[in-house]
Amino acid sequence: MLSDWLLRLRALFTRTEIEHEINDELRFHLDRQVESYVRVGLDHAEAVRRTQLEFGGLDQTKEEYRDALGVRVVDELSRDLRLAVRSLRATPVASAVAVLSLALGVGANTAIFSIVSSLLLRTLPGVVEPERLVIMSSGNTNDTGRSNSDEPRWSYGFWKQIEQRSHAFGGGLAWSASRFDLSAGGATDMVDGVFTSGEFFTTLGVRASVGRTFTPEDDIPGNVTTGPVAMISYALWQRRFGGSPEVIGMPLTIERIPFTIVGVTPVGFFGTEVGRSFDVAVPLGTEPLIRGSQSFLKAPFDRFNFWLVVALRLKAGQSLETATAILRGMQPQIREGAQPEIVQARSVEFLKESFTLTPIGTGISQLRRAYRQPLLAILFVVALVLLVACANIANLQMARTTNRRHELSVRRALGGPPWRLAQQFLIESLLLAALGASAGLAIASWGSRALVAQFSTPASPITLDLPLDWRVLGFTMAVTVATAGVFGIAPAFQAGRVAPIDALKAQGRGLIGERRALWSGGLVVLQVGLSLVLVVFAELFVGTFQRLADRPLGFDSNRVLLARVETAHAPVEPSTRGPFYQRLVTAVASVGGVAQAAGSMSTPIDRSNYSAFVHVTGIPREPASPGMSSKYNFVTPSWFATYGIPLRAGRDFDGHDARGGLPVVIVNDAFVRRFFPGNNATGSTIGLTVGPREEYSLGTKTIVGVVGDAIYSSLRETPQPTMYLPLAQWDLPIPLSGSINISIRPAAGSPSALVPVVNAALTAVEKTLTVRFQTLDTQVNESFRQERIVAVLSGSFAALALLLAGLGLYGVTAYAVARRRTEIGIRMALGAAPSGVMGLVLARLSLLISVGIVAGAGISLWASKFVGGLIYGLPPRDPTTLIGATIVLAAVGLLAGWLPARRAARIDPAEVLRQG
Amino acid sequence: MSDDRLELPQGTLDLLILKAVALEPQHGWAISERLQQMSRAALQIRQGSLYPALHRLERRGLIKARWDTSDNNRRAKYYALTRRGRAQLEADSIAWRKLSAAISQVIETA
Repeated sequence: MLSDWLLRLRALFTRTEIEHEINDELRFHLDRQVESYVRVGLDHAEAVRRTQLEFGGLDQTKEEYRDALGVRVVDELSRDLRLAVRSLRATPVASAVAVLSLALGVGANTAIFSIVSSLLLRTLPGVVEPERLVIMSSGNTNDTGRSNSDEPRWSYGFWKQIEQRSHAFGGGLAWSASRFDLSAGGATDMVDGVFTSGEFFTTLGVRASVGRTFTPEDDIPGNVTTGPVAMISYALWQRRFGGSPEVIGMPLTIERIPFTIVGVTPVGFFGTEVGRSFDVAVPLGTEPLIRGSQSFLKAPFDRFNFWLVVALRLKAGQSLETATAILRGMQPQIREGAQPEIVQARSVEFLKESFTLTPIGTGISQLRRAYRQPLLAILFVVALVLLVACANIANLQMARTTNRRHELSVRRALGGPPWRLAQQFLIESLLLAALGASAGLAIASWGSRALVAQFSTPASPITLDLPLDWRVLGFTMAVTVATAGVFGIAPAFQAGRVAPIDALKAQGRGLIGERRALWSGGLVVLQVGLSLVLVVFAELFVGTFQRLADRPLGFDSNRVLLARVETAHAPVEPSTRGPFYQRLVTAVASVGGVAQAAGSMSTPIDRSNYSAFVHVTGIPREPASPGMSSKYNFVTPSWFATYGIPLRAGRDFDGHDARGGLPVVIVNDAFVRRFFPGNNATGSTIGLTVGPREEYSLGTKTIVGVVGDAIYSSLRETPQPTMYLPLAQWDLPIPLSGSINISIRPAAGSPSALVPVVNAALTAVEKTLTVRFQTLDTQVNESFRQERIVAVLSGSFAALALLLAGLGLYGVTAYAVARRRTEIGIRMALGAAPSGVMGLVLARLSLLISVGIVAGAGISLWASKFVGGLIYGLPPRDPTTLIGATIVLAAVGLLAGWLPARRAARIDPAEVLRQG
Repeated sequence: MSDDRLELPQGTLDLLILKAVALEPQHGWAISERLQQMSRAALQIRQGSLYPALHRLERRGLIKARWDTSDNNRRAKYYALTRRGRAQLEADSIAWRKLSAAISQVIETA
C-alpha cells in the first residue's frame, strides 16, 4: 500500500521530527483532558493524576505508537547492525578471512562479469539509437574466396551502389578497420585506424568533441578543396596532443601521407566493433593515397576486394521487414552495378542470394565470437569459487552460532522471538557480504583491466570500455545478497532454533551440535564436490595449453624472424613486384649474421588461408569438395631451409623456377598421403583450380619435391595437405599483393637482434618501405594466448578453491575433535589406541570427501559438454583427468583432516578426566 | 472508576474511530471525547490505545492526518476520513449490524 510505504519511509528519514510530533500530539491530548477535568471542578493536581491514570502508561503508548508507525523495525535493524559489527570485531582473524575470501570471490565474479557485460551485453556506447542500425549480409558475400574474415564484407563498388540508395533508409555507412603507421619516417608507429564512409559519423549520430566530423565531400577520392583529412580519437588527442584544441588543422602523417586533423571523436565512443577501438579515422576516399596502385577503390579491385562492413540505419518507425523488402527490391540493379568482371562467367551466382539485415545490437565483434566461450567458462569457474568461499563462511558462522548458544538461549528465555535471533545472524551475514563486496569491487576494476591487457597483444590490441555501470553494480549487488543468503541462511536457521532451555544446561551438548554436524557435513560435501569440478576444469585447460605448446610445429619457431614489408609507396609496377621482392630477399640474405632468408605470401599461423582444388593427372576428376583441396603458399627458394622444414625427396626451388620455366610445385607429406597414397609423388603432375566453383585454373604443375609437414593456419589442426609454389611463377589472375613476408634465420643468437640491420638493408633498397617485425615464436605463442590465459586463470582459481576447501575441512574436523574431547578422552582411558582414535576422526571425514567426490564427478561430467570447444588434445570426459582430480582432492582432504586427527590421538585421558 | 463499563471487542475500535471522524475532521482528544459521548460512556476505551489505532488507520489509507490550529489556538493533529475510509466505514457498519443482529438472534432463541 502506497500510503503505508510513504509513511514508513518518512519514519526512516525523519526520526526526530516524528518523535516531536508524537510528543506534541500526546501532550495536546493530555492538556485537553486535564483542562476538561479542571473545568468540572477538580483541582489541577487531581486532574493530572486522573488523566494519567486514564491514559495509561505514556511510554508504553509511545512505543506502541512507534510500532504502528513502522519505526520499530528501523530501530531493531540499527541495533542488530551495531551488534553485528561488535560480533565481527570480536573474532578479527575469522572475520578478516571471511571478508578476504568474499572479496576475492565477489571481485573475480565482478571482474569477469564486467568484461562479459561490455563484450556481450552492452549496446554500442556513444552511438545514437544503436537498435536502428543493421548490418548487411547475403548468403554468398565472400564468393570470390578472397576475404578470410567471417564477417560479411563487401566491395567498394557494392558500397557505392548502396550509398546511392541509402535515402530509402535512414542513411548508410561503411567502414573497414585497418592499422596505420603514424611515423614520418624511421621506426614504425602503429595505431588502430579505420576507413569510414563520408557520412559514417553523421549516420551513427556521433558528434565531434572538437572540430568537425567528416562530410561526403571529404570522402570524394582526390578531393582538392580540403585535401586528405583525418579524425583522431579522444584517447589519442589526450595522449599525443595533451587535449589541446589547437590540434584542429594540425598535420598528421598517416602511412607517410600528410593528412590534416579536422576533428576529435567524443569521449565514450569506441567505434562500431566491440573490443576494437581506433585512434585515427580517414575517409574511404583517401584510401588510394595510402594503398597507392593497390587501391581497392580502383578497377578491378573495386569490385573484387571484399573489405568493407556495410550497415544501414532504419528510418524511425521502419521495421526490419520493410527495410529488407525495399533492399531486396533493389537487388537486381545493385548486383548489376557491383558485379566483378572476373566472375561474369558465373554472373548468375553473384549476389543471387537475398540480402539479409541483422540488427547491429551490441556491435559486430570478432572478439566476441572468439572470447564468448572462454569468458563464460571462466565466469562459471569464478562462480564455483565463490560458492566454495560461501560454504567456508557458512561453516565459520555456524561455529560462531554454536559458541554463542548460551547468549542466544538467554535471549530466547527473556522472550526474544526466534525470528529476531535469526534476523540478527542474517544481518551479520549481509554485513560480511557487503564488506567483502566493496573490497571486491576494487579488486574487480583492477582485475578486469589487467585481464583485458592480458588478452590484448601489440599486433591486435583490444580496447574495451569497462565502466562500473548499472549492469555491473546490479550484478555485484545481486551476487552479494545471494552469497549472504547462501552462507547466512544455515546459521540464521540454526540460531532461530536455539531453545530457551539450553541456557540452563551449562555445558549442554544438545541437539544443536548434532544438527550442526549435519549441516557442516553437507557443506563439506559441497566444497569437495565444487573443488573437484574446478580441479577437473583446470586440468583440462592446463592440459590443452600444454598440448598446444608442445605440439610439434614442423619448423623451428624460435629461430625465425618475420618481416612484413609494405611496398604500397614504392615506385614499383604491380606486374614487376615478383622480381622486386626477390631483390629484397637477396638484400636481406646478404646481411651479416643472416643464415637464410626467404619470401612468402603467408607465414604460419598468420590467419591467411589460401586453398585450391587438386586434380591428379591420370585420375578421373572428382567434383570439388573440401577433401579435394589443399592449402597453398607462394615462397622463394630456401624458404624450407629458413624454417628448418626437412626436404624428404626431390629438390628445393631455385633460380630456374621462374616465369616461362616448367611450372613446378613442392608438396608436403600430408599432401602425398592424401593424393598419392603409397606412390612416389615426385615427378607427377597435378592440375589446380581455385574459387568455390573452380572458376580459375592455375594450370598443371609438376611436383619436384616433398617436404615435411608443418602447421599451416592453426595449432589445433592436424597437418593439412599443403603445396608450395614458386613466388616467381605467380599466376593468379590478380597481381601479387603489395606486401611480402620475409622470413629470416640468423646464423646464431636471437632472431630479434637482427631487426636493425635487416631494416637498414631493406630501406637501403627502397626508402619508402614500411616494415613490421615479429619473431615467429611470438606469432605462434600469440595464437594460443587465449588458451594460456584460460589455463592460468582456471589453474589459479582451482588452487584457491583447494585452499579454501582445505581450510574448511580442517576447521570442521578440528571443531569436531574439540567438541568430542571428553568422549575421546574417556575412550582412551578405557583403552582405545591412538590409531583407533585417528580412525574414528577420519572415518566421518573420508565418508564426506567420498560423497563430495562422487557428486563433483557427476557435475564435471555434466559441465564438460559446455567446454568441449575449448579443449584440445584430450577428451572433455577424460577418465585420467577425473582420477587425477580425485587424488588431489583426497590428498588435500586427508591432510586437512590428519592434522586435527593427530591432535585427537594425543589427547591425554588423565587431563580430560581431571577436567571432568 | 466503575467496572460496569464494557471492554471493546477486538477490532471494533477502528470502526468506532472511523465513525467518530465521519462527520468532520477531529483531533485525537476530540475523538476520544466523542466516543465517550456517543456510547453514553458505556464503552471503556483506554485513551492511550487510541493513538496507535489512529496510525494504523492512517497507514492503511483510511484516514489522513493534518496539523491545524485547534479551537483554543493550539496546534493539533486533525484526522479526516478518506474516500477509502468512508467505503470501509460503510462496509464495516453493515457487517457489524449483521453480526450483532445474528448474535442477538442466537442469544434470544437460546
